[in-house]
Amino acid sequence: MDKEYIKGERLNPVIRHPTESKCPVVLLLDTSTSMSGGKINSLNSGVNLLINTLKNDEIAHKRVELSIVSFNSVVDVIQDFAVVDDMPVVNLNASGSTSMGEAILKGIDLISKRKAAYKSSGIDYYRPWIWLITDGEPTDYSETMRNNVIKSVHDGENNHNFVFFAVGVEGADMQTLSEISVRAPVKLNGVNFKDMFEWLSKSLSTVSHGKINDQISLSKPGWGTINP
Amino acid sequence: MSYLIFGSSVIGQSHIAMKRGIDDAYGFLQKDDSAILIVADGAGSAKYSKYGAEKIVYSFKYKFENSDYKSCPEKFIIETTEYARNEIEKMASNGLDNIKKEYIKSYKDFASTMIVVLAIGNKWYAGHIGDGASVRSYNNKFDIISPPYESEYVNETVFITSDNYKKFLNITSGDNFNEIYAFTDGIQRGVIDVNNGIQKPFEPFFKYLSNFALSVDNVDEASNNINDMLLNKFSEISDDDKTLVIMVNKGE
Repeated sequence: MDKEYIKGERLNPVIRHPTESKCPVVLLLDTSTSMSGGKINSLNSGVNLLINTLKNDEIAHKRVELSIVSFNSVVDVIQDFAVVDDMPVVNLNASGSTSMGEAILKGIDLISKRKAAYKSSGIDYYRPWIWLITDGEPTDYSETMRNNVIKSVHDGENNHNFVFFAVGVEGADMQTLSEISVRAPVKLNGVNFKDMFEWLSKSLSTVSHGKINDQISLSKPGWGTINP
Repeated sequence: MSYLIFGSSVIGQSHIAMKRGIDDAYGFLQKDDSAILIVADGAGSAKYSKYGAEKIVYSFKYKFENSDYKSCPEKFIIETTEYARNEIEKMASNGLDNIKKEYIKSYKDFASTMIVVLAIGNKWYAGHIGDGASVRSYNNKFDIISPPYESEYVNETVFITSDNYKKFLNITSGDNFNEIYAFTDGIQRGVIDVNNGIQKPFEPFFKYLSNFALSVDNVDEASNNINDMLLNKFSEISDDDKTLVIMVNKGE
């Protein structure tokens, strides 16, 4: 996909609560046609639940910075990094194809730019998270794109640049997700986005509160099945 | 040879918010012409890290009292670190009086950093895994004698429970000191300056602290003063637990 298909980035130069260490998270959300109906409604509710839960956490609301990227025929940075207090209600619509490859590369690029902004402002930060949710297979996957995506994610994980999680909704190509993600992708139970985002907010809360071991160790996701 | 040793730990706001107790631990002992101080900081994300921190402190005090640390102090630090790690693994396998072993997933549930400073006469030896630091004062000059493990990310460090913990054990030594300050990462950002990647003690703070330390004659009172300072002056720096322990060399 050409860069012209990527919509406005709406980069946020403001870093709120600069004395607080930042925990950057990118949500890459599939909004292709196959997500229509119950799936997209449930996804919207789940994302808004995540935002509201983090808003109520005394520490995480100042430390977690979310960025939301939707992808269908276009990749759209609908929300650049911001603390949850500054985020509007999310209302995604489903249509078009599945530009997953470009979305993943965009997520990695956003992380890289945000880390540079933290460094230039002297702000400490946590290891960033990229969280991919899809119910399909990439429609922008040339051989070159495939190799580029796999290499970028694997290099990023191996160099500890970020942590990448992949979640497949019913219909997702789990084999492709297994290729991309170093960690085993998780198959969501039905459209149980509520439990998944509750788990995500708890995990972010844990990470943003204290030191973690040399390996990222999170509780077992009860909302899905780990794809070996 | 005599030393005055005093210090304190205070719970961080984030631990209070999480309804978690303090995970820092510290201890010190003196014997003959020697002294040891230990500071350990349990990982916030590790369920039973406070017990890991306490085990480190206990292990070094026990070995200081019961083994030969003088003939090769560096070896003493290495072997006691191994002993503490083994004790933590045993604790994880057997459980504790108040924690059944079924609740313990792994010895990594006891993750903790450690700073140990052993003084023999005027010589000092430091062993360190993870963040926090120790600073030496000598003739009104201050230097970091064991720096924090450097990570790009603020909450990621290494622990005695890390897979390659022996590789991360940093041992340093040297001659002469007036005071040695050992502290956890809860105050690290407020007292260590980082300029172009180079870490230095923040001199105004340590000059103030040195003047205070050299005037101490009652260690209980001094510990209370440290406690007040940690509570009142460092709450803006970090919401983590905070520990500072000071060893003053009183000479012959």
